[in-house]
Amino acid sequence: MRISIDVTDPVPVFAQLIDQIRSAVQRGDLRPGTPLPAIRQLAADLQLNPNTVAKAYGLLERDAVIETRGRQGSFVHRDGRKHSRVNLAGQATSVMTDAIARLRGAGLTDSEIRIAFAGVMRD
Amino acid sequence: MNPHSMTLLVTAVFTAQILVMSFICPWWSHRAWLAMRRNYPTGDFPRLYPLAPEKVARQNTLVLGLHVVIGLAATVLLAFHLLHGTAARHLVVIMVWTYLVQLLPVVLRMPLLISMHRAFRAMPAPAVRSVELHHWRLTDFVPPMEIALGMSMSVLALGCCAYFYFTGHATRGPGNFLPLLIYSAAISGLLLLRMGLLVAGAVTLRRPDPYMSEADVIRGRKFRLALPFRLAMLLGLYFILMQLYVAGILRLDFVSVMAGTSILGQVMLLRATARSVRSLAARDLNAYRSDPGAAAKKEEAAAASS
Repeated sequence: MRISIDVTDPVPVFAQLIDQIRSAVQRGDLRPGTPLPAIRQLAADLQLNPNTVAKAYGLLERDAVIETRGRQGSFVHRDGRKHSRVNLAGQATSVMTDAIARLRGAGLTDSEIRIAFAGVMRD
Repeated sequence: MNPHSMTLLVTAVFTAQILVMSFICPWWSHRAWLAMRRNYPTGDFPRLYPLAPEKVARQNTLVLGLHVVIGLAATVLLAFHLLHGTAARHLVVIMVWTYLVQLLPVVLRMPLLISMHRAFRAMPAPAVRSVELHHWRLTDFVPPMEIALGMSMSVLALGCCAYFYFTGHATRGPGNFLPLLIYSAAISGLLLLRMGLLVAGAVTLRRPDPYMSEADVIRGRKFRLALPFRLAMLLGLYFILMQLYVAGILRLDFVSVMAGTSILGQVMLLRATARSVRSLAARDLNAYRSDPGAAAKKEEAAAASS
């Protein structure tokens, strides 16, 4: 399975990596237990900062799409296919859309909503 | 072997050494470089020449000249000793020293090769990059038998060094071969360390340059990963035989040993040259073509500024 990134794309590189690995797991191109390349090796092959690949792997691990087995490396999670269908970012977008609609309904302007959101994120 | 046959053998090996190391290999490499410049012109393939091609050509010509001068000097030296009827035992020592001098241009070319290697790596990577999402293992590149043999030969060579050192063979009597032990132990130890790191998967292999095709990267990796194991096999066996010979356990003729050493060196250099020439011919160099989009953008920018 080939993975490809475009550094000029507005989507961050780590998100491109996550999307492609998640899709491959979902399609069954990457089966449960399939070993993934080491972070440093993938970063070297794609000429990226290892932290970028580590961030992508970390987020995929958080979503239980992949798992890390100590020094053995990273593997596709045994329930990775099921977990790859869970779209946390999509859920967050849906919750926020509802909240924004309610706030607009209550008469708040978009600027006030932005300021409130920034304040909550800061806290 | 009678003295006459010995002299004949040394003369044959010495002649082959002069031809291989000073004329055939350098000429072969130089011809490959010229062919590359002819088939892949600088204008169309700018990424193939990260260093100024004129500078590289100048250095290559200098090194080739040095090879020829050393080769001619070695030929005169051989002819002189043959005319003066030098004994085979003495001639073989001259042959080994000549071998070391013949290696000098190769060593002198190293800084250029290193700076070229660095320049290739420093090239800005293309915006779109892709790679096979595959967990490569050492055994995908090197057969397990080669891994086992390489590591075993290094361990055996180190074991021999330890045995001869602790039993006092190396330091006792007139045949002191402590320098050989130190040299063997250092080379075998370094190779064993490198092989250990490769087996443990602790080595990250970087791309030689951002534009190299995937197939060429894999081919290059195969060679780079197999090299320490093959070297360990060959050098381990050589060090063991040399130590046994110097310790007087293995009875071999001195002239034959030195002739064998020269033949081994010649074969290694021939193989290395053949490999580099063949790999250059087999590579897909289209990825190094100039970017037509970038050229068009440059023209547009020039038109806009005017």
